Amino acid sequence: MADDKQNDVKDEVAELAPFDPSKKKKKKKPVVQDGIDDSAENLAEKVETLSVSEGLESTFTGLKKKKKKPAEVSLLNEESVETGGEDLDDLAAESEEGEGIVLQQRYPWEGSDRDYEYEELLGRVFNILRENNPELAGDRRRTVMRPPQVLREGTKKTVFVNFMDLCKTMHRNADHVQAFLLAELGTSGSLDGQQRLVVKGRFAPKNFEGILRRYVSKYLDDQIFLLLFEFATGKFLLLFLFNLTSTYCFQMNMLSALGAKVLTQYFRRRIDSSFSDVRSVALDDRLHLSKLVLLLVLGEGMLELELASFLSILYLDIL
Amino acid sequence: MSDLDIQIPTAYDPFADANAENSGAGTKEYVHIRIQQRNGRKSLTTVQGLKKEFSYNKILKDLKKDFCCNGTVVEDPELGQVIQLQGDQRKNVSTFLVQAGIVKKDHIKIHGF
Repeated sequence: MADDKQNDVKDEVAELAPFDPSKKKKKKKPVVQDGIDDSAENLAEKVETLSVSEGLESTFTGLKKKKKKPAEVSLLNEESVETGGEDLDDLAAESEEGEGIVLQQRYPWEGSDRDYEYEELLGRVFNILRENNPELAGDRRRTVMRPPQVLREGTKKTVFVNFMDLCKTMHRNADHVQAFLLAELGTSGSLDGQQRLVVKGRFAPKNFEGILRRYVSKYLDDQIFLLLFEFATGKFLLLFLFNLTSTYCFQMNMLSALGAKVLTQYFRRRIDSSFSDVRSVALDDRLHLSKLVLLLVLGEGMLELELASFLSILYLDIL
Repeated sequence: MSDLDIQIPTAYDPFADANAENSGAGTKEYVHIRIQQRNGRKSLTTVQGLKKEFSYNKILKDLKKDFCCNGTVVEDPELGQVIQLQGDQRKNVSTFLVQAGIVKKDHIKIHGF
């Protein structure tokens, strides 16, 4: 399914690369619907395999919450925090260059007065982004981890041979993974001289795999929650709330304690109140508590000054 | 742009209203179901996190009857009352709790292999 999606995305990117408004009109509806279906099914799924996908770019494919490789993301986000926080000219300029033609599209919501749905806005924003910056809508690469190797030591102990390898693949502290593993198994264990994890009890590799999968989905998945604000002028403000729990960003600040839901509600209210011409606010209600470390704000066509002052308000309040 | 004056942060707690609104729906008290190994193939299932209003004894009795196992309620200093059941009853317990309407499905967290 991921492969299909990848191909899908590649096709879309290839097709949309020459910015032709007439072409785009025809493709718009199928893309949006595709996106909606995609995101609907994908949002229902969780991590199927022990796979870690990478890159900030991957957020823009498939129109859904993305799971990313922590190392890459943290590096990229460090850059983008600077750009987002200090130098918004880049972002604003980058997004402004592709503004161009206002699309007279047949959107699913036209003809009625209803508020936009999350997936619709999401699809629209990502399409705009893909057209303007096709390189950002990159492929989603999946790194598959090696299966855990498990040996018996005596009758009552199990040795997890690949432990350190897996920790390194996940870019995690061994302590953290070990603590999680032992807590989930409900037993005691320790690292022996050869950096293997010796666990009391008899366990099969399948058990370890399941627990590792849980670890990945809980801690590794850099879940990105998107807040979409559409202004009456037709421009978007897209708020990415990243969940970065990679080893690089392991020192959580107060943001993490608050939880995603609180923060997104807060932002929603703030933006609603500070910008009078917000036309709609879309929020993915399927948030679950996660740890937030960084904020990246992507403004499409917003005036730099507005964005700058808005961010300063945010930072003043939070930090 | 007039409504974008930089606001000087005062004693205003930006999350006060969010927290107030959220406390009802947002904060989740999870019910943790864990498993421990004993001798051989024997194991112990632990249920922790149920609300204090419930009568643990009644729940325990029903669980014991349903799953034909033995169990007890243990007082833990920090975790409160914990239900222990013999055997691997994790799935059974979660279906039981959901069906009885004690806990919602997304409030249950199953740990262990």
